[in-house]
Amino acid sequence: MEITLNINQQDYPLKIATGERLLDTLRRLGFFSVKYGGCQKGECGACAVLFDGRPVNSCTMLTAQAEGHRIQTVESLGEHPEQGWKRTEGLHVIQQAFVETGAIQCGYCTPAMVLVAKSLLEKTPSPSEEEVRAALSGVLCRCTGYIKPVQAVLRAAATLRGEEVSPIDEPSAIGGVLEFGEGEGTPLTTGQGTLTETKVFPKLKVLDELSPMKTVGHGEPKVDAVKLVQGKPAFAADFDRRDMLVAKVLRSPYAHAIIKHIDTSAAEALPGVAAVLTWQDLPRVIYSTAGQSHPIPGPLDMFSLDKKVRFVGDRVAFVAAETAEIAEEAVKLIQVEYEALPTILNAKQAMEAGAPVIHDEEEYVNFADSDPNRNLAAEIRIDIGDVERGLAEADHIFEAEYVVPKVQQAHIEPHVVVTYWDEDDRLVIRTSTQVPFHVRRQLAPVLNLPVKRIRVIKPRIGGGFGGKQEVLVEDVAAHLTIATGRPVIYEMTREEEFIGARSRHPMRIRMKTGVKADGTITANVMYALSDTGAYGCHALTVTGNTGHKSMALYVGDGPYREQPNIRFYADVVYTNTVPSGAYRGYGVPQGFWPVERHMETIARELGLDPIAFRLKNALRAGELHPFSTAWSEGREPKPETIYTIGLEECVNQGRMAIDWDHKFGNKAWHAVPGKQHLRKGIGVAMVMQGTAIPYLDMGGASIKMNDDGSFNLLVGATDLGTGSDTVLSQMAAETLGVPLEDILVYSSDTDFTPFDKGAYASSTTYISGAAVVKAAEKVAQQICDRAAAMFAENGLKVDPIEITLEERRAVAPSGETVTFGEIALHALHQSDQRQIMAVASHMSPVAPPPFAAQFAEVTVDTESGMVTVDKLVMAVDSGVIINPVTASGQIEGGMTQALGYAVCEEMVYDEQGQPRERDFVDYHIFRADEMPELTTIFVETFEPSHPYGAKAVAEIPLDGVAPAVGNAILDACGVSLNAIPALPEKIWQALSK
Amino acid sequence: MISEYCRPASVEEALSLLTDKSKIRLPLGGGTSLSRQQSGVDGVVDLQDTGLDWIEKGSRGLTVGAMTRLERLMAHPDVHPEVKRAIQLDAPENIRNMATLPGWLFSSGGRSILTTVLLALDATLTWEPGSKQVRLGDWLPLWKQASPGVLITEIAWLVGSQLVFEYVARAPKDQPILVVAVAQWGSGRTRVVLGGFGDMPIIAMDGPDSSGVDVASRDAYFEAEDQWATAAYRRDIAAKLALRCVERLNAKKESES
Repeated sequence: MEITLNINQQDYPLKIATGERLLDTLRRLGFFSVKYGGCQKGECGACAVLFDGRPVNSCTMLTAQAEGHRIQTVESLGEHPEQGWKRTEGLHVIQQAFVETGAIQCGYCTPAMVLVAKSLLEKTPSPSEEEVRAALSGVLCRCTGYIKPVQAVLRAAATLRGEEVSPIDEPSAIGGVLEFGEGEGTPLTTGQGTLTETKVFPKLKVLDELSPMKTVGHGEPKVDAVKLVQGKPAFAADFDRRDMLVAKVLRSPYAHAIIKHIDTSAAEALPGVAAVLTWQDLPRVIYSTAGQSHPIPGPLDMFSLDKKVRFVGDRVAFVAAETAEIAEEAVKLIQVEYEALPTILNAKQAMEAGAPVIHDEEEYVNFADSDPNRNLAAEIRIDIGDVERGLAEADHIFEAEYVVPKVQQAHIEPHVVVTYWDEDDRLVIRTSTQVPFHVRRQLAPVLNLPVKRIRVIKPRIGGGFGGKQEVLVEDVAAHLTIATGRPVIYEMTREEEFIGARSRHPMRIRMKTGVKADGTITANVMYALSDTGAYGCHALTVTGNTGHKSMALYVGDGPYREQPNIRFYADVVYTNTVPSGAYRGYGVPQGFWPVERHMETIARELGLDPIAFRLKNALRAGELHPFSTAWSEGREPKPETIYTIGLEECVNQGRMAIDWDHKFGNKAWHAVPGKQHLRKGIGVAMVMQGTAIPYLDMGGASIKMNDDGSFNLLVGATDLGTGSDTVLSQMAAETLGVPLEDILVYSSDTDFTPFDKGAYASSTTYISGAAVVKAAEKVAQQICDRAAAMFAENGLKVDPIEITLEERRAVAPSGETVTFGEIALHALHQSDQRQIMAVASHMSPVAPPPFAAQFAEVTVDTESGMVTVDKLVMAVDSGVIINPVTASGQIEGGMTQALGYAVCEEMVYDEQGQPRERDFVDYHIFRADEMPELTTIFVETFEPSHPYGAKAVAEIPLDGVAPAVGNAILDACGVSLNAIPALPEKIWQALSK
Repeated sequence: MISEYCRPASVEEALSLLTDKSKIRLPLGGGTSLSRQQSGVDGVVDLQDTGLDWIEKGSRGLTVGAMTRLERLMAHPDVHPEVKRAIQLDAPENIRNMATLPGWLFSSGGRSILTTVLLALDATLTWEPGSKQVRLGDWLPLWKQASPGVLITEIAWLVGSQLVFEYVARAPKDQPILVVAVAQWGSGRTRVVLGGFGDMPIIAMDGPDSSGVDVASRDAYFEAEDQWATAAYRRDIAAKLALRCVERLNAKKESES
């Protein structure tokens, strides 16, 4: 049909399909700010546009409905303030506020948020925080925890009203109880009325004072923020190529079955279908989808397409067609005859004698102790010290079993890839991945192409959280491009994300702990039965980290501190459920739920103060990481001493902030006046993580000086929304003595950037950052040498070592200077010409852990069991914080994901292995208008193994929220919960006993 | 797939399209549901120009035109605050700006707080052709089997009743596992509706006063078991929340007197 759409005040006469959705039309026209979240019911809101000035979701509206209305997208708002000779008005005030406050992480939902904010502020110039949160509630964000977007809207509102706003880059005072919105009321138990501080810069307690720095340690705006806030076509799917086909995947309706016959003739006959591929069409190459370094530390157990399906959602056939609708229709026309097999739907069943064997393919490649005949993907047996002696020496033995669920990463941008042959017949893979170099290496044999004929481009990523540390979709599009010779795009739907992507390993964990009467831990034992689902991607390493991190924190005291007794055993088994894999935290959240719930139980049963008991037994600076002599992820273990532990100060700061000493043990505080069925509780958990994988993770960087004295920084590191491009640039800028704007960062493209293992294991700031600093130091040396030569030409003899670099200049001890622009022209054009540039890489022999104290406050409805989390406070020692604004965004967003893990997120299967969760309606992730108060405090230590003293920050916020909430529930109503999520019925059952 | 799009300028024109037996056409409200391309549908009849976007307060009640968006109800002074709260819990603003009230009733299922609340208020639907008035409680159990007409044009409910609801969910804005809504009129008539289970909310009690709300609620959800909660849990909590609703109503009455 023919219609005219008014988009951004311009009329577009169009021919559209009658059933076309507005989202598809807008993207077809190049309005790429309107994002696809894969959902069918408008749950995520990433596709929001303004419709006659009001936000609506374009994915749930027919294009025809929009005729006669005004459509507005972010493309109509501000633009970059400098466009050569043309002056523009710059960014819109709201966009500017989003940039300044750090409200943009991955940026995928940002255009929608900006539009929602615009609509709100036009009708309500002075909104309350509650109104802002209500407005933003239709746009789901998995990155930020919503604090900074709320701050951005409030800041924009103030600016639009002509008010002064406080500077961003100004540290907050610290040291007392943080009173949030005192006088404005306690947060309501409905989750409404939460109060966000307007100060963007997080609270910072510096333990190791450093000389002031110009860029490092400052809340610099993200280097990609300006393009993301404008909705520029920065993501994998924001890409047009002539003749591009759309891919769809036929997925198994059975949890375990043999494909006896496939008839694709009807699908192939459908006009517009370009290719239909089944297992019979593809080379049978076994591989692992886990994006990890060579050699993959896990079994090889997967084919692109196989004659057997192992979970509901497993891949059966690939289709490429001219449009998504034709491809979907073709998928329906494929006739498959299955022979259903007995299923295994829980880990215990997988271990039973006579259980069905899920992996009986002869090509299966074992890794270490995997044994497919026993459904065993991995086995771990770690003994440190003498556990039996430690248990024998204990006055008390505490044993309990704990359960953690399967959950989903739930990044708002689904998995998406575009593939095409370039003019040199090399296969280009433009993909939303955390691991571009692993994609290239691992996919080459699967496609029967040499590595050198594959180029992987990683554009901006709309969140990953481990879900994109997987070579999951690239082969689908690549096979279809090989089959058709044409470009192919494959975007997962939200349903596919739930039934066909990856998830966090669910585990059943048994704890046994020996304790002296004075609270000294004498031995600590963990056994984990981990469910890797249908394939063993990350099976060994995720579960290894469960013990490696959570069981390392409490070593005991006195002689036990010298010689800790720790055992960690695990079996990782196959089941007929969607595969588990990497998810932010990488096994550690699973470990800290049992460890920290167990510590709480021990402390309370022995009448010990829960904080003092933990600190008495916790690791201290100068001690060995207890697991470092026993196990390492992918390499031989080597002893590692931990030099920086700010845990005690984290506890001090956190307990002050949440007012622990007033609330804990205070009967009056636990009651809610006028509501006898409500009880308040407070809880704590202490956690540690890792920073990269020692002797394994490597990152590279190259830096090149340009004619004007600016620098190109090329890194293989993968910014998946975390802000790593920004912090890497900050470290380069600091080292080179230039402002951040002079560093032009590009990441990552396997053809152009140096290798980096990718974004995982909390390693980018530490590993890739050290590589950047090394490269910058080499460049700085070249600049100093060149400057010395230039000084000499003017009769001034200066030793290059005496030259300092600051404010885009090389400064001699006498105060004379040459600018970087002069140095660059001299080097490139004038004398002894050469390119000032350097390449460096970094690998670390240590993995210094970050530490944190997590506090939670809850209200429990003792009649219904409903838990409302009112407040989360996290004090973190992540070493020196390179960018406090982006780092606090990591903590806030991480705590929010962990909050879902604590109370509402889980993936449930029925007796046939059919998944219950297929969208964001049933799988609830927190909205802006139901958040508790979130507070982040950084306790800065200087980690000596990093040039700027940094440790990891990205994963640790996932570890402590669930146990802190569980301990707060215990404090509120006496229910000792061993399984998460803390569903109302579980609490009710416990209270009913 | 949708192969025909019509945008009639009046209700009459819409009815003529919808009653044309030669094609399967469905009325299109906001689109939140129908835009998910359904098989077995020839076309959609977009009602946006039919003049059904209005809210009227009459002597006895509130009548809402079928194209009234949920967001407009949020802004209307005569819509009960608990109805507004239900709308806010069911749908964020992006959805409210599109979704119409009848569309929501069709697409939201048994876990909708708004549908639960409207059922408690004993809302009435006007169906065309024939201007048939059908109580929501009569239509909900049968809507998948038989339809009283081709188009809902109005939804009405009495004002002046007291209304409260209580719910249990995993998170404050999650879909409820259980919701209990209690409406009470000046005569004492008390109507208790349960939601959070099955395809639609159900009426647990419609009596002359509030006595027995707990027993009625417990009995109504006696077998309400699914993947989200056991029946034992739902029936126990239904009773407790029903009593809590009545307590709130009584407290409100006391404060008003």
